Amino acid sequence: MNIAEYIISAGRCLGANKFRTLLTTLGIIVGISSVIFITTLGNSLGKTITDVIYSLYSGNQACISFKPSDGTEVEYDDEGYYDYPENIAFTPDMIKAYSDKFGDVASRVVSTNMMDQSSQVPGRITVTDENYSDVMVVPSSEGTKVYNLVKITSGRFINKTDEENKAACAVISDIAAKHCFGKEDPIGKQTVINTADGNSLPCVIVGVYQYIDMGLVETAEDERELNTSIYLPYTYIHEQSGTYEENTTTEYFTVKNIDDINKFKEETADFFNSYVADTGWETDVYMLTDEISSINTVVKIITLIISGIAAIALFVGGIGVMNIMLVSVTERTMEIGVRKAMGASNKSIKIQFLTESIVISLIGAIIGILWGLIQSRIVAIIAVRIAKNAVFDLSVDLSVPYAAIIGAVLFSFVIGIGFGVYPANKAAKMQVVDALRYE
Amino acid sequence: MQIQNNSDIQNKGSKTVISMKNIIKRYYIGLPNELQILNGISLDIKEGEFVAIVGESGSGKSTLMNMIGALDRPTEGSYLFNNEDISKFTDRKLSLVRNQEIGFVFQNFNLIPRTSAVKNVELPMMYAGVGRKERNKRAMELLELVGMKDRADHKPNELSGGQKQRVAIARAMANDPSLILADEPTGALDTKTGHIVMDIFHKLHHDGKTIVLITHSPELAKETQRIITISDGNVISDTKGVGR
Repeated sequence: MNIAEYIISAGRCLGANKFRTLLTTLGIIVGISSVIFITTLGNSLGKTITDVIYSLYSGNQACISFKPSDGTEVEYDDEGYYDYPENIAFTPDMIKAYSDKFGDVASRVVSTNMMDQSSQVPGRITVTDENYSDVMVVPSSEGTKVYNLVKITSGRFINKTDEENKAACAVISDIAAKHCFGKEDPIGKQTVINTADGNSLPCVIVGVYQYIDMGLVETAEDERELNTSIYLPYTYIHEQSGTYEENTTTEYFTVKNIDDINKFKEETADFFNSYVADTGWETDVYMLTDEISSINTVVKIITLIISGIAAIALFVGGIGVMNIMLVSVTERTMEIGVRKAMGASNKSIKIQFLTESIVISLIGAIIGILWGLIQSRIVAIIAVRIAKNAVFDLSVDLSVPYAAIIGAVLFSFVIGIGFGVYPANKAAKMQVVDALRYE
Repeated sequence: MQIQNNSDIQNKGSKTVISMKNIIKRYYIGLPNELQILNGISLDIKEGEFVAIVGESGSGKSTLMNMIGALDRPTEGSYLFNNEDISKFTDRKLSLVRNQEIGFVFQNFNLIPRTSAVKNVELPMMYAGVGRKERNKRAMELLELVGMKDRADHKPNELSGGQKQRVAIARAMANDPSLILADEPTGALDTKTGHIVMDIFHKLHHDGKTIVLITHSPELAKETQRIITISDGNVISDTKGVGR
């Protein structure tokens, strides 16, 4: 008897008891489908998070700061700020030297509305009594665009030349443009920003960006009073307001075109370490990719834990298979006797019942895999629907988890053998005389 | 020796299929309830013989049948089957003997449920490793022999008792065994159907098959050539039957 005949025979036996077979496979189906469901969602969640972060920041980000070399945390001062010694800071000279050296791959983010609110000043652009708009003046560099997710709809953003020339140019939101200039093209318009601290900043509009309500700014009843960000070269603002560039304790860079992130981190750390040598401080370079990989690690751990719980269902399913196989062996004692009388060896009886339990498990696995994939797609569709109202378009990538599928099939195979071997042995070891006499 | 029919002539000088010497079977060996069922049975059955083994229930005839059918091993004694001592054979070798040399017919037919007649007949050939086509061809021939060809695709639950037993006989013939061992083959059938089944055995005997029939019915035993009577684990008589 070859293996195909065992499988056909097993199929016939299981087919004769369809409902029972289905009930038996239920445990396996639930177990396998949960594992597939969880791993599919886990994988795609990790991928989606990565994609979202990358799409938001369109590239990698580096956050550079100093930390004590002895591994302790930076302490807070009385006002709740990080308490750095005076000599532990990034001076404009250091930043300039760094930018000169790494300018090709790392472009500095001067200010961000989230990280450095102190440098931002509210102001107003007034064209007529009716046409005005409140703004938030954000000192900017080329890197600010990427960091602040600025989506330019017309014109351009502040560039390196503007920084160097301290150019009097500005990028305003579409909302501000609408209220100040109506239907006219704002690009090239000369205007003045009157800031809350009493300065007036004359500038030319060079670009318009799309304002996205991220829920971070309090909404005003009048759109004109929304304080949307207006980006001006930081060099120009410093010049106009009479302020100068101060030392900083944290620096942000958008990083592009690097192959070896670790090498970049190392080189950057070495660069700044040379300034703080023998002070008991060292440079801490934190990359966005570190964030992503730590998020992915968390997702993976959660996936593993839940898969582990789902594996319990598989185990219970395996016990179900064993249970029904024991019933089947008892039920078919006479048949086993007859088969043995007809010349079936113990081995072939054993293989026959093992094949049945493996086939049951595999049927469960196949249904489980399909159901798991369907389930994850249903949940993904719902998730995308819900996310539609949120900030960005969420696209869930549901790549088929081949590793999990192969794992599931192998695992169910192992369950089939593991839980089938005892009943099969029981059948094989039956004395033919006793089996034939069984009523 | 009185010549009764053609097959009796064939028996003369033909080889011995079964040769049992002092077969003893004990159960629960070493336990307080140790039980000796067969007390040293010796018997020879030659090729082409049609033998009935009769005895009351509890006489040991079923145990003897198990020995003859290589379903069980004797505790003591030697059992030569086709001149080979199978009394010490392993399970695996015994299953080969059963597969190749012995065809079983049971009282309750014992067809595999939910499996068509032809598949049932194919079963011993399947275990013998006969190819799919070949075994289907032979199974159909055998079903034709017992007049069941038109019911080849019927499942056992779609067949009457007599039909089932005819399929079972076809199955017993599958690997062209040296011996057909029938345990009360008409026990579950009415008289008329029983006769039809017995006719088939007579026909097989006529064709030269060695048949051992286990029965408690003296009438049925009389139809055979030779009647071996068992009582309390001993052969108490070995007489000629009337034949047909």
